[in-house]
Amino acid sequence: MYDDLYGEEEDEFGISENRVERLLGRKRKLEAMMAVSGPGKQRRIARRLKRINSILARSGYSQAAAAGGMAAAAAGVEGIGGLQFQAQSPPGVGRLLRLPFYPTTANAGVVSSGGLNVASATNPVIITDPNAAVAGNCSGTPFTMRTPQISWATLRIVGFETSHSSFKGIANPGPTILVEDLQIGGGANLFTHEDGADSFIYDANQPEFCGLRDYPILKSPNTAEVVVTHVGTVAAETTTFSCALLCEVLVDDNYGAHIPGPYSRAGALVRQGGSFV
Amino acid sequence: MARRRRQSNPYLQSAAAVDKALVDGVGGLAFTAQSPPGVGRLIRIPFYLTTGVANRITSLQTNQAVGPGAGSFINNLAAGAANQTVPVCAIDFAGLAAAGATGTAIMSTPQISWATLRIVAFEIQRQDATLNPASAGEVCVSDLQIGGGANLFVHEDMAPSGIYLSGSSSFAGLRDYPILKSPNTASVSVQGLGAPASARITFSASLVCEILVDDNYGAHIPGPYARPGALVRQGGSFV
Repeated sequence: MYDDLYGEEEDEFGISENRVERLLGRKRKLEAMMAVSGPGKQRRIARRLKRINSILARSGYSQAAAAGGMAAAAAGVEGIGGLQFQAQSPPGVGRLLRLPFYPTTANAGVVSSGGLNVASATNPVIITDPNAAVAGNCSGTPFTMRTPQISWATLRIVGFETSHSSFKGIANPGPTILVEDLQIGGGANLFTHEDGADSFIYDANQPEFCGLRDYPILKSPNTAEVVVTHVGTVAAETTTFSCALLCEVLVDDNYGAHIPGPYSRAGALVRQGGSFV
Repeated sequence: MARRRRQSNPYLQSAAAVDKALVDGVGGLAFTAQSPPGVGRLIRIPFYLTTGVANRITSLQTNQAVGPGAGSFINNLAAGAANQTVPVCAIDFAGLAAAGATGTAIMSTPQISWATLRIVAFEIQRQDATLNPASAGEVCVSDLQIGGGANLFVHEDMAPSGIYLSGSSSFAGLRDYPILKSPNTASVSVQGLGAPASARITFSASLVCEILVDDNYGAHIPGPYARPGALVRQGGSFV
């Protein structure tokens, strides 16, 4: 009797999708009827269900495969041929914050928001002009830039970044800025170079971040400081420069505690020995 | 037992798949954010000029006048002066009699007594004039050695710095990722190529390293590219 309803309608490609849908619809109805039927009818329904299940099994249909299809449809990935899309995203709350260094110490030949040879604790951008300090100079003297005290948060330092653009003659390569001695609260140098390094290593436009020797905690009243120097080959060239620490906010007095990025979690900071450990 | 039943239930499996899909991103969209490499990874050790070329290749210097006079840039260039604290160097082509190469300078890293490093790449930063008054000059490099060992570059002679330029989308490979441990240092040969009217070039070079052991900060875990499993090799006279 059920051969009329569920009979062999398979071709060389197997059972059709429409037929599977019909079988499943019938199966759902029978299952619903079973709950409100007497024992005799339940046995007959059970036999019919067994027959339907047998046909579905022969056709290659399975509940797991159907569930996978439903999941793919819900996720919107059905039919895209395994193609995955990636989009650059923000790092997440409290991660990869930039904390600027400020020219808090006045230095000859350095213009801050306060003017030439004047310190500034409110604007991190400087213009280095050694020729303004000593006429005819193409390179300046080292000076220190410092982060402010961050009393409202505990931070983990995970990188250092610079940004600069130069005023130069069109036939000259232009000056650059050296950076050295990145310290937290007067601690050991976080750079691997004991002397100056070209700040382009840490440039914000580099495709990847440059590493540091350690990822220490920065907590008030400690501050970070770095020494910067303008070097060039031609007088009267200037560089507009700023630099910043990359930090993770571990605890924020206003916004609460965050989860740091995987690169600065406990499992990624395993180390053994060392005089500071 | 309950756990096994849950795993075998296709409806629960599908719910988990949907949850995962919704967490990972609807429509197969995955999100990535550029991150720091991790503590002690991809650090840079600058090269400093140890042997300059008179009138061609010299180090820059802090608090320096253009010249003339002792210690000025002009005087240092004439002498091919080398400076062990400023890694940025200048190549000047004005003294060339005809278009061609400058002499070869040598740059070296300082001795890093406080750490054991694994070298994983070589990088050059360079600055060129916006408008070249003549043929553009080029910085060429060869013979990257650690402690006088075999060349780590695949090229036995010079290669243009563009191969190793920082800011490229990928690092150039090296023949080996050797250990750098004091008193050994790394050295590289540098040569300029240009015409007498080519614009001056300033550049610096650095080694990209992983810190394996740091006397102050302890031992770190290197990146996956520099772990033993990624450094398997067979045969070879140095193995």
